[in-house]
Amino acid sequence: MIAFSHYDAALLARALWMTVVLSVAGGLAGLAGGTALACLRMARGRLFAPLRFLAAGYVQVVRRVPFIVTLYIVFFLTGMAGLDVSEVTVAIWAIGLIAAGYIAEIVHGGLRSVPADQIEAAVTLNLPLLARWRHVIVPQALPVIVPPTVGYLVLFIKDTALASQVGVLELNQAGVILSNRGLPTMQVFLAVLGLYFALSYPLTRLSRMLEKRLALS
Amino acid sequence: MPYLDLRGVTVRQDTHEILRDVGLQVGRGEIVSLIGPSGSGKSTLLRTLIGLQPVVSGSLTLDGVAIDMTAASAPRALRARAAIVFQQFGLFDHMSVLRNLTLAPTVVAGRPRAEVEEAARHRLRMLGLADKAEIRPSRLSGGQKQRVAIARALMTQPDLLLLDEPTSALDPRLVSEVTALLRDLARAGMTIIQVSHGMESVAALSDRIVLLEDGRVRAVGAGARAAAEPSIAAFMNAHR
Repeated sequence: MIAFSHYDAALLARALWMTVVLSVAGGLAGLAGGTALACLRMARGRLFAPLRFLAAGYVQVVRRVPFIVTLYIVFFLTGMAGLDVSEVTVAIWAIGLIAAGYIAEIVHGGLRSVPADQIEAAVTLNLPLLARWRHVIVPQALPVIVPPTVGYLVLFIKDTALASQVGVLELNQAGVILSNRGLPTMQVFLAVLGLYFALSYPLTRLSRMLEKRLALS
Repeated sequence: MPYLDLRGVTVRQDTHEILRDVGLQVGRGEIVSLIGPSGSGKSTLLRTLIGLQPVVSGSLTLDGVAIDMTAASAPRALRARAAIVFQQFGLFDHMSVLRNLTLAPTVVAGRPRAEVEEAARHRLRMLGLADKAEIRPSRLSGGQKQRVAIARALMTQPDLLLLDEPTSALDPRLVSEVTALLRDLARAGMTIIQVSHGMESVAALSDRIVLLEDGRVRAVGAGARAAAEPSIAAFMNAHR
């Protein structure tokens, strides 16, 4: 067992915080973008047809591209566009773009799981559009949407390790730095493993709790 | 002047006409049964009357108020006066029976929740469902779901009640219960239009029977001898 120096521990803590920031900010961006994309795909009428097509196309493309490719594309595009943004911002945008594609698919599936007769019943009761969503569609779609979304976000925490490729100091990169500095590689990465687990396990528990609660409500 | 006067309704899906120039005149408090073979347009006509089915042409006068069926405002105008009970009930399984009944009056009409709940509990008591108020519809039997669906429809205080196969999910004892309930409602002035395959209840219940075939009204029988109209009698005898 090795003892980390204060400096090493501070480095790990900073990297842990960055992993949290990437996961939370990227996840929130993905949730917002994914929900918007799913709603666009559900929009009726000819007027929305181009938007429906674009949203569906985006989801199909993004889900087939490795995260690292998206990360590089965002990195180089922001550079080409002359945008003065930090590597962290680039990583968050890339995570958000990818997460939006996956979450859009989950949300879309959840919304489509609400039986058509429920929606028609709400329509014939003259419930306005927002009331239909609030009282009928969302409460029935949430139990279908939440567990896989949280599960996906847990998986995504691990993918934030790739942000090191554009120079972001996250947990994996901190492990590499400490290892290069001469600390025993196995122990360093066991510590990194423990921190990833500590981050993702509560989310897994939260997912199960929400699943039960939503099933009961 | 009839309470409901529907004229020239045509409904098209792609190039196929599901309803062709359909007309229907119904007096207040009448019970009308739509019968006909599968695909004849019965359910489409019911859905048209609640604004779920876009129409190519057609006009409706409901209680003296003219409604252009092709206008964007038609569905809302129809739903302000009519309510429908679907064959599969369409009850919201994620909320209690009571909330199913109170949702529209509180959210759409903005009536006070306590007052609406009292009215809903009264309605449930009348239908023998007083002890089911707090449970989920998924735990009810077919007959109970049917009655809850009718109770929910009545909570919006419609004067036109549309029912799609109201007795198909019920055993014979419950059929007579629902039939009696519909008669009471009609006696109180509610106009009822039902789609039914149950020829016994059609014969027993209807003031007017409309036979649809291939999207057109083939025959209308009215009054005590509604079921004796030759085409209607032939269809009913063949489908008993």
